[in-house]
Amino acid sequence: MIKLTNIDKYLDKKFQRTFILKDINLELEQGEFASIMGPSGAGKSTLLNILGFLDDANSGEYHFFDEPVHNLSEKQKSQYHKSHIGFVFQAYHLIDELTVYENIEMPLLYRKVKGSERKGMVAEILDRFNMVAKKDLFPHQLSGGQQQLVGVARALIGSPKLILADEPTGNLHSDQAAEIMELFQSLNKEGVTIVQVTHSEKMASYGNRIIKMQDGMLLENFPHMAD
Amino acid sequence: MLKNYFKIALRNLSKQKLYSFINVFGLAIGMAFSILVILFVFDELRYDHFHENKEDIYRVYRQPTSSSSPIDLELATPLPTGQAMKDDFPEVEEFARLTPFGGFVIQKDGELIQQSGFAYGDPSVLEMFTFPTLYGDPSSALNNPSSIVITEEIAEKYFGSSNALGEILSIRLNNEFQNFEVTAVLKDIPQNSSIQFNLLFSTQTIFNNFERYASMTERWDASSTVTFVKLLEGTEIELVRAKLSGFMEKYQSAMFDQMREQGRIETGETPFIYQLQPLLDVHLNPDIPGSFTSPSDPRYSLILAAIATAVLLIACFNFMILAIGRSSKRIKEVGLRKVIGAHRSQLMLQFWGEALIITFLAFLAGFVLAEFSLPIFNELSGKELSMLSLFSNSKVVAGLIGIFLFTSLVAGSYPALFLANFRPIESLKQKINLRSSGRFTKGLIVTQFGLTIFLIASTFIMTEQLQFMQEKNLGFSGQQMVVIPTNGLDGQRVMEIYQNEFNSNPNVINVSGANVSFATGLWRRGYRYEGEIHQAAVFRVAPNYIETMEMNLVSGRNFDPLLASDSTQSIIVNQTFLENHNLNLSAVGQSFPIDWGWMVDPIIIGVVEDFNYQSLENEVAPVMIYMNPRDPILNLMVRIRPEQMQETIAEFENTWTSITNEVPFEYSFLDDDMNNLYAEQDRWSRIISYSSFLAILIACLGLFGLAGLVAVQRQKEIGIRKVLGATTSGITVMLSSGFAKLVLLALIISSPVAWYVMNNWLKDFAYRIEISAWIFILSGLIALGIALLTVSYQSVKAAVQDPVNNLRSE
Repeated sequence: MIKLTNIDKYLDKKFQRTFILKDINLELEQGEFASIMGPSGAGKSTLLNILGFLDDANSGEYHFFDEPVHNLSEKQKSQYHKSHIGFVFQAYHLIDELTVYENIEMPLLYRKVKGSERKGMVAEILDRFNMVAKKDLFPHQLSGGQQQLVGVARALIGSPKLILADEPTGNLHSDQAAEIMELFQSLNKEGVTIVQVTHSEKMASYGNRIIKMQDGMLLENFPHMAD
Repeated sequence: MLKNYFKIALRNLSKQKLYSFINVFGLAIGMAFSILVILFVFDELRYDHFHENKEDIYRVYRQPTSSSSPIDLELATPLPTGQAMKDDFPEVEEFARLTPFGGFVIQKDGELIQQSGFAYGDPSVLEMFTFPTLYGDPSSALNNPSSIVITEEIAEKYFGSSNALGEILSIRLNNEFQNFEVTAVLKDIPQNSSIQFNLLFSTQTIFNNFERYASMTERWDASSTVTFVKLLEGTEIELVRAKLSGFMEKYQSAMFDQMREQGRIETGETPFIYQLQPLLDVHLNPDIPGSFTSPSDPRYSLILAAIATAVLLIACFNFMILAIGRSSKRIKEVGLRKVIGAHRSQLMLQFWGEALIITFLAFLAGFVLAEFSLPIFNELSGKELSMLSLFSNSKVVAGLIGIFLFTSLVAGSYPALFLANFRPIESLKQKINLRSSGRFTKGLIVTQFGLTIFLIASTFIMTEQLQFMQEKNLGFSGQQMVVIPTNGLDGQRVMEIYQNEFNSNPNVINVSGANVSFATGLWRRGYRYEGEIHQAAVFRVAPNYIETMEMNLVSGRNFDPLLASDSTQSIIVNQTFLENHNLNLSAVGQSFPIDWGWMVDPIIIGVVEDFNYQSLENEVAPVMIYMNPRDPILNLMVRIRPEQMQETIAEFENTWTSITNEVPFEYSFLDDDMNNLYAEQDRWSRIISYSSFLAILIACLGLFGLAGLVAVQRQKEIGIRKVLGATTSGITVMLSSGFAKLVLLALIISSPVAWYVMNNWLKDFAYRIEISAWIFILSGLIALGIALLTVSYQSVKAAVQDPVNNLRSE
């Protein structure tokens, strides 16, 4: 599904080149639930951003379903965002002025889904996440865990093939974190590929693969660590 | 999608009430001002446009052919001009004389009513012009000399209904009441018509009743009427203009020859022609005086439009400044929407849409504000504008929509162009470097305050110049000086009656008279001196004129009523006269070589200090004062005491009515007449001062909002500083000083601009103030003071907060 070949990401400062990612080679299969781990500044988030087309590598090749992303135009990348990838953030990033319902609905608007169809899709996901009663509340009226649930619901509404989560549980206490991770697990079982960045071994243990990073390089891969 | 944008916009609006209010209110003021200016400018441009033949009608006026011509530009033409043009020029289809003719007494049910607004016109007038007619046939209404055409207002006033066709009006002409049959009723003349009248006589009526006019019907040496001509449709006006010189030589050769003989013009020189001025030019050309209404200077429309644009821009800048101030929050939204799949163009659409919504609200509020302030604006601008006329014309509607779109485009430009551009990861992580936009914000604030200071300084300079003009020593005293125009009566006789009657009256100091008062008109005569043609302002006066006017004789003597030669051969000149002819005080007692036939080589018996007989826009010209009875006395100049002025004037009126009851008594105070010269400048200084008030109000609203945002953004910093020992006052100063620097920068930038522009304005005045630095310092201090006051509220509020509250949230 994803194939990174010799990916470099660096900053040039006068006579010094600082590598953020160096010579990354990584393959991800469909149906994987991978956790990127490593100390601060290892390049985890940058890698995630490159995976999600939010950032470009300076060199190397990136194939997404055999499509060379490094050659895609802005517009095509935007198409992939809409149809293939869902994002979940540590800070949830909900729009404060919109209700739960409207936040979840937003990706469909950009995908130009028809009104009636949209209603059905949002209702379905609200139902699944047990949030029907909360659909008219605004984000600040929810707890952190509930906000992140909305964030996941929003990422999921477009039925993406890939969910990228940047420390999805970083702002949550353990009960809430466990709830989100269990949700990820069950999504993964339904066939959604998940890549998350996390500091916590415990959170990583919900997945089936750990990718360790240090100083912009992959340290080791532990594919299919647990089932 | 649109619904989603709409929701976000409205929820943002209602959540941020203060900022929404500042935005909507500020923009509304700008909009209201723009709406009023559109009304004003449109009204100006549509003057006289209701006449169907507007493109083909021309007004005839006397135009001097060169600046050295001894003949002035004049609107009155000889009575035969129109007929001669029609006879001589095949392009002239029709002519019509149409002239204001003052007021008369109307008798109605035994009651005498002084009625103003009369005019007379040829029968062709109502066909040439298109005054909307209610009743009657305009083409034949003036055929009969006992006919009269009236407006709806007059019909209602005298007959109680607008249908007054066939009714009889009894009007006193020539000392007897005569009956006139109403043959047509016109709708009231539109306010934006340069031709205004309420009652219209036929020209023949005037000839039948006034010997003076009857004697002039074929004379070319007396100008008394305003002539209009209508050219054949599509005529090239230049073709007609090319023939005007020959036309003049044909009809005015007698006058030209005489002038050449007297040496007042060069041989072969044509001193003036009867020029054609397009009807549509009449209102907007201030160089040619009006016949019914005064023309207006189109420059003022431009100035007004510029001020409105400035005020609107200041309001737009508020919108942008506050949008930037809140952008850290919006940046997150931008990033998120982009991650979810929004394209940049969709975000631009969203932000511009939000601006559009706010602008629309402001637009509605602006309408209400405009409606409420319309009476004030009408008073300021001297117009009768109505909001309804906004929708009567597609161009105005287009203008309104233009303003609306312009405002939303400018106001929304920052978020749309700047915010929508951010890359999603940067914006989500809020790594945006806002320093560049900080400079942009500062630029906007400096511009706002620059404009504001410019307007404040302009207000000061205009006010100071007006005050200077009203207080300048004019070389005479206009206070308690009553001017009574004799309005066609024998002035010499009236003056003598008044002198007999009031010389012993303790409340009357002096009764004198002159051909012309000040501020209302000017008599000039040309003569040849040392081979060159000169012109002097001439005053034919009564012997006691100099002392009555309280002028200062700097050399020589005053007129002596007992000396017969003084009334024919003596002149008193002003200082400029001597200077212009390279003479000095030794010229007193010498004769001056001019030959006007009735006054040859008069003796200069005295020199009077220069006096300003005109607006201070004009320089004092050489002046000759003489008593020669060849020129008439047309104005009584009476100096009275300040005590019991009302009673004194009532006595003047009694004396007047004992002389005549045909001509109504009129009077004015000379100082009022002089001050009226500056009515236009006064009006504009008031408009500018209102505008500067609005500008500073809007700018401060924006500053207030921004100061609040800055205080919130620096909450943590303030908390830390306080924990480390900063005082409340220290923090207040820290927060406020940044804004103070911007206002000072604005002062430095706008002062030279204001100086340059206002210096140009002052150049219109021959006598003017020097622009001193304190005006800019004061303007800057005012702007700074108000700005600091505005900001300090937010600064103090932030500074007194308990630091624990601000730090805990982290």
